[in-house]
Amino acid sequence: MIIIKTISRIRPGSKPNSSKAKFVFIPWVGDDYWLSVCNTIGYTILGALGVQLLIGFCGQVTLGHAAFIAVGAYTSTLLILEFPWPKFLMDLGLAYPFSIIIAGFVAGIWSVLFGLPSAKVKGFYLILTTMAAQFITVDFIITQYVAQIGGRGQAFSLPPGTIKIGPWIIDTDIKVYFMMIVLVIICVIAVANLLRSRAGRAWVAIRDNDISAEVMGINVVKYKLLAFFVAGFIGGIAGAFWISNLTAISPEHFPWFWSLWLVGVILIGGVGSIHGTIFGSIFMVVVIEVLQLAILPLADTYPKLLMDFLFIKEAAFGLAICAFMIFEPNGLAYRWWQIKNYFNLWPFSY
Amino acid sequence: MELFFMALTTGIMVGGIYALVALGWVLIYKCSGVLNLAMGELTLIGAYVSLSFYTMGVPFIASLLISLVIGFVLGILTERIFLDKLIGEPVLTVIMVTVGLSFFFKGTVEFIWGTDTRVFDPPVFSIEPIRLGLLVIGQVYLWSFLAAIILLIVFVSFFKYTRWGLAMQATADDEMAALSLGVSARFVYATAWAIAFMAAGVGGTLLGNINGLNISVGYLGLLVLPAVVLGGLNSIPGAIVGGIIIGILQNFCGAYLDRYFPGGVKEIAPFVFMAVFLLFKPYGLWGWDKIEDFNLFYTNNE
Repeated sequence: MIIIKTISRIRPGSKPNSSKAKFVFIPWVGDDYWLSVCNTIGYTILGALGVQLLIGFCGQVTLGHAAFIAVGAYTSTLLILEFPWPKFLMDLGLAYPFSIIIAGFVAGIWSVLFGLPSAKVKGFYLILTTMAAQFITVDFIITQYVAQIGGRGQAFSLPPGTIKIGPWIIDTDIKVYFMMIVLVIICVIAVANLLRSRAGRAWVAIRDNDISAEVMGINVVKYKLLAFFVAGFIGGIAGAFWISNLTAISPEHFPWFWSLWLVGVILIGGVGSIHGTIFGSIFMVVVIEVLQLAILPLADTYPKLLMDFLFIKEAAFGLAICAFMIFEPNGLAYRWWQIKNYFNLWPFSY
Repeated sequence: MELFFMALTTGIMVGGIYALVALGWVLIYKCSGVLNLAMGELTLIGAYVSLSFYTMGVPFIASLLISLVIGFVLGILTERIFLDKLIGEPVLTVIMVTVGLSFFFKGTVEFIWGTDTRVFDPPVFSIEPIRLGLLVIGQVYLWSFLAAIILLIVFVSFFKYTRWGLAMQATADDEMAALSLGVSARFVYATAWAIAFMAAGVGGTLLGNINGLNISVGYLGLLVLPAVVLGGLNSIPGAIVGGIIIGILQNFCGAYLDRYFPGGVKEIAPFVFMAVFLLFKPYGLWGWDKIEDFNLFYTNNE
């Protein structure tokens, strides 16, 4: 994160490139580009944190987390657009912060609803249930009903000035960036501390062996549902945060691909490690951006490459997951641990 | 009443195609224990390959056969390159590799063929419907159903009567015993993937004939998951019955529920049904109940 931030500083507003293809397709050459990359990383961290909690710490594999992010985003948007906030709250700029918290709660409850089957099923069957959650929530309920509220058609656009925290109107990448930093730090610290608490220990026990966890007196169903709630809560916050960057949301922003992407992020980063979530997010986002930069010089000769970059991105993501699963199943966090140990023991490593 | 019969026949016909794809899924699971989430993309690959050959002027049957051959080769390659290295790894790892594969295939297909809807041109089957008493059936549905049934029979007799099929059955039943009798497990895994690719490719081609071919055919390939859950993950008759039931359910929901819940009821219904069904009977109609026991994070060899 810090490295990227410094990169963004040492590249002060470079001139737009003369090449026409670059100008048309990517109007970003400059400082703001790296800031927006950072924002994407932050969003990915927030989303993947909930997935990490569910998969890595509680052992409940979810392939439908984008649904809960979508619920958070839509709750927050609807609250801002439709809810009659009291005048003094609007003046103080508290509408958006409140809506973030409410979005977290709504997404958490929605998540618990789809976590209920985890009381009965596990393993592959739970994967299928969470998949169903994605299709039911995003492709049906949100697309068909929620997105129609207010008769705006598919996309909800947030008028400028509505996203306001206290005196600051969040309208530029740099403001989104600082908001992202604050949210990521709060959420990471909260989850890290939660994992050291009674609930966290119970989750790890359930992950390792749910039968012995039950024998030890842990209420398995209660803690599984708690894990779903916390994961959904963080997902809702991620969604509510992301509307500040999108300024117009539609169901296409939360496809099934995004759920799988988040799972891929934690697998690449390392399952069962908060460092892993952060490493994985940085790695995936940066790799995709670097891929894009590498393709840019080729774009003049092969314009198809840039037009179809989305597909190249998908294929590259797929290959990256396969390669990591085959060659580095412990993820980046394991390498981090090895490096840390090497320096801890240096110079006498044995 | 006419609506009822229409939905029923269309459901059975489309369900036959789902059954074919579901057969491939169950085969991979039975033989190698891989829970495959890339089935939708396998249907896409076969469908696009046969479509390209058909638009080049190759007769339909011949292009279908070419797509079968290419599917066979791709299946063996996929197994050798990706899945072969994962024998003995935790279940979650293998599942996520198939997810990665699905992205890889999907991205490649979209890159090569684009995302526009393509149709088989000139149409393979005549648009003129066939009337059987009260029933009016589109020719596409009827021929697709027949083709799916013929392939199902071919595959099932392959398992029952050929040496290789028996080897696959033996491996699925007890891997250790089969290994000690000289069955090559690697051969069986590769064959299972090859057959799954072939079945999915034919299924995709037939589905593409019905509504035109685009990426959403891959989503139809995902419908095999409700089908196999319904039938039990490791039962071949279960997959066939499950596929047909899902086809019927989908068309009934489209016919009757669409006016109360406009929009995508038809696409969502199988998944809603699956989520509810899992709560009451997670092993499906004919599955083993021990499937539920596996832990995703550790190997199950001990």
